[in-house]
Amino acid sequence: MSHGGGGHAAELYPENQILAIGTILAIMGMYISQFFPQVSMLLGGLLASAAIVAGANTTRKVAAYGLGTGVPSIGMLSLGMGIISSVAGIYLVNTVVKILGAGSELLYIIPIVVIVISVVLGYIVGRLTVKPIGMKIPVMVESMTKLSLMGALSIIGFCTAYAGGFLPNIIIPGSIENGVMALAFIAAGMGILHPFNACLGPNESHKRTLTLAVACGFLTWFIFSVARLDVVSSIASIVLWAVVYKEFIKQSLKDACCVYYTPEIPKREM
Amino acid sequence: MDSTLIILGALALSSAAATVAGCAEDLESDVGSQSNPNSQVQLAPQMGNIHRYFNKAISGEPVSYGLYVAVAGTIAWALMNIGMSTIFALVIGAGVAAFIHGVYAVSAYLGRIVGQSQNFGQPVYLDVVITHLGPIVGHGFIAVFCMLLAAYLATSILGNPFPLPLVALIFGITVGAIGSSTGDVHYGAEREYQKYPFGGGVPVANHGDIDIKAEIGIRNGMDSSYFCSKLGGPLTGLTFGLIVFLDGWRGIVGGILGNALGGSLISKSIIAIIVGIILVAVMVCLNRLVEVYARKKYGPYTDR
Repeated sequence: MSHGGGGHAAELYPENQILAIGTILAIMGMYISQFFPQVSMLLGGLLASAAIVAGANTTRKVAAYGLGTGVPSIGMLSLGMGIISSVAGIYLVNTVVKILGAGSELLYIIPIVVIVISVVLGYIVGRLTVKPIGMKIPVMVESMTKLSLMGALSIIGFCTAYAGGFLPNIIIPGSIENGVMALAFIAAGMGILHPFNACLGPNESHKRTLTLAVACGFLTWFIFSVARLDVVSSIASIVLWAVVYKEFIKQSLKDACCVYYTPEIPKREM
Repeated sequence: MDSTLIILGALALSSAAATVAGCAEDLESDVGSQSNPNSQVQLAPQMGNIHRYFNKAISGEPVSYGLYVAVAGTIAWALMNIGMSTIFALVIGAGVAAFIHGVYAVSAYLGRIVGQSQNFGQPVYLDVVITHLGPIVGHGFIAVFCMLLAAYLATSILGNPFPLPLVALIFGITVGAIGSSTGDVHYGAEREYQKYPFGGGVPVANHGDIDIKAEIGIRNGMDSSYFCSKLGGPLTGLTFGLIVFLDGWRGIVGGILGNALGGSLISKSIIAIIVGIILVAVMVCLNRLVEVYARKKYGPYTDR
């Protein structure tokens, strides 16, 4: 246990289980957005928040090694790798199809290519943090790979949901050129870094952090719904968010040693 | 109207907006003990100081302000695209950002306090949450709206080539960074460590040993805000306003002189760079004068 993080408390669910569910849901969300653009924000946005939850869970795992002030950095690093992989994947496949003259069916593998690039990039960055930089965190390489993957999935997930598809002719004008990807970068980044950054401490509990992660995921979905001026998914996301957030507040007040409503300082033995 | 006049007006307006934004941003982070003070507030219960500060551990100021202004910018941009009037769009965008701000502020307070509540006996003060949330969200709204206005002017009049959501993100990160670097100097340790002599910094051994008693009653984030609204906040605003103003002015002087000299892009850029270097040199001299004056007048420093 470390002073900054103090995590490694009992895990509610194994990390890899949450990671696998997050990955599968986010990929499903992208394909739903592509094939049913009329519900892209409603379902694509909802499923993309799964990637945020999984990313926040991995942040908890790696940042519990005492990266107290480093949690925001980890989140931003994750999304930095994610945005590189997303843009690289989209343009790479697009260029290959244009130059080689391959069938346009090849474009449908863009999410898979993005995943592969993000995993490779995350692994390289993880190795770099261990070897020349010399961070002695045992799960560093593994966590960097996972964080890169989750960063990429949340960015391309929300961008796909916003644009209504991941084909280059939809997502490049719909999310990249108009700057919405900048919002995906910072909003998803905050969703990934905030839950553990807020909840860290010796009495951190996985349940509370995970509840806040779900709330942050829904809040990011709400931001994108409003930015897309999609009334139905705005209402759906804010209602779901309110339910989860209320649960988080309830848990916090229950876990606190005491809750005061007045300016009263408890008498303590010094 | 002459286009130079319009650009000068836009520059003046965006500098004024930046000044207000910097001031509001600094006061907001003082109420919420964001940035550096936050770590001290976080450590306080472990040092036996049960406190009533608001602990706003969202992330660093640059990241969180980047989020708010980017949210406001994207929503305002979307609303303007469907034909809503600019001012309404900017207000609604900043309003949604204020909501997001409030949500993250509450979860940050509850999370950090409860995260060490059992071990160190730090209670959750719900009255602190309720009384501090208004000033936090209100100051945040002013800061976000003003930054968004500056970003909008940059894209629509001052000729910034990037789309509004991206410019908003960059402007948000900038206001957070200036608030963090300038504002902390005027608040940070000094207000929380008033039992230690001024000017010596805070040794690591004293980290977390913050003052929890104020002039009247138990100290909280609001006291810091009253304290800082006299000098810290306005100075942060002035710093940021000057940065925006001088940087824009540099380009305008380059444009005007370059046009007089024949108007090629290269000569305009070279003049702008030279003006920039002159400005930096003047600033360095002024800083040195202020530093020497302050050391002579206040410092318990010895000559080395």
